[in-house]
Amino acid sequence: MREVSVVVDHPWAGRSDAVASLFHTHHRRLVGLASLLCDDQATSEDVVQEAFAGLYRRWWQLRDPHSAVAYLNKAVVNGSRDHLRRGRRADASMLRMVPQPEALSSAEQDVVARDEGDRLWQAIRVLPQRQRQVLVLRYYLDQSESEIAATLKVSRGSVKQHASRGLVALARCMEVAR
Amino acid sequence: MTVSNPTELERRVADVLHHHAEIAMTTTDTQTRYDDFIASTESSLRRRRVTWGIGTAAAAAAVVIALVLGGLPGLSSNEEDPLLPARARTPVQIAADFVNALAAYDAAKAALDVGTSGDNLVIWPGDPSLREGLAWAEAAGFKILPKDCVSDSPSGSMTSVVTCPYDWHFLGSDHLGQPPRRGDFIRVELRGGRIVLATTALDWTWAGLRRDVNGDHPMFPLFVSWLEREHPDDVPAMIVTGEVVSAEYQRPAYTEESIALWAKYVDEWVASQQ
Repeated sequence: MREVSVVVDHPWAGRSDAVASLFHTHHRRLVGLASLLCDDQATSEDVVQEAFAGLYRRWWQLRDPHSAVAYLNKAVVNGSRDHLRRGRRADASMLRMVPQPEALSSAEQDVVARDEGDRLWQAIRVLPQRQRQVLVLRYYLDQSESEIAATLKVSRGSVKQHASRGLVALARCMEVAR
Repeated sequence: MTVSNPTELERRVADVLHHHAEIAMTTTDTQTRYDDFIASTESSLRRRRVTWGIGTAAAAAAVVIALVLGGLPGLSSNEEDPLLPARARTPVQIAADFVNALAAYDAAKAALDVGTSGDNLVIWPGDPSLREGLAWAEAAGFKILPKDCVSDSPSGSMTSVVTCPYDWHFLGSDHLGQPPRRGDFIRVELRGGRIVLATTALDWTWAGLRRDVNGDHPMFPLFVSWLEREHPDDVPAMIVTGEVVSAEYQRPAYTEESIALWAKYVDEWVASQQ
């Protein structure tokens, strides 16, 4: 991959140059990735900023320049998870902002009016966090099972299981919507 | 929507994810966020220096150990930047995306909106291909710092003209504490949403790629003199002379060997000047 080889081919490049190059090359893509794992743009931007700040701080601990992009991917996935957890804890303390089963019918009515893509996106957003992460890594980043397992620090079997359950849940959701 | 076929569902999931990611990607402003990142990093580093100055050796050792133990993953990664599909953008936005891609040395993104294969881009000396030019620019420390693009088109014109001003560094001038050069721009002509011509106001000959003009940007002659002294055998692979306008005019060679040498020796040159 060319973006990685920028770092590999120029091992004499300083940290600032290398991180700047990575920032300009990957920032937008990472914001896209974070947006699939967080629930709003501002949080996604913050998660990506934190990922680059972490990379900068730890640059000299990189064991292999190839790992810079993998580190950023992983930092965004984990950072999104942490933000989502904090957000959900905050939601939980705010008089049940999460829709209750009774409310879902009206929410579904709204969703039905949207196009299929919107319905599928809403279904992805309410998946359990691990299933959502696995599907995003698989179908957005196009990562293999072993890469996803390494990113999430779970077994390949677990990746398979979460992917399968996530797809079944989405299929069921779409069938219901029809 | 028929979702009984998992493969079809998977395809739709991928489409939906890319669509929503693209919305976020087009909303963000990489340059602004980069400026924020640099500002916060510098601020953080200043705080860090103070902390380290007053900290004990034991505390410092603990930080080092913690960082080492929390080492970074060594994963391989084969993902590529998703290329944005054509979408309804103004000529100014298309031109800005193009210049930002140049600034990021991203030939694939820069080529997205170019009408033909990049032959109509007159940006680097000797008119190399987009990929060659960007590879050399990166190796030689030619850094574009884009500013806001503005439309120069007369209303009703079939061709849109957009001017994108930029500041720039060259040969590690940023690392040597020199301010960026200002006042240059890339002029982008578009027709039907495609870039049909891009030229820069920067005159490479005037900017330093000739030895008898060194009043405004003297780094290139100094660099070449240093290069000829330190690495005389490699100069012919890096710099082409005597084939254009005047005997004094020189331009970079765009071969892989040349670009690798440029990257190596510009870095070495910078270190020698500090």
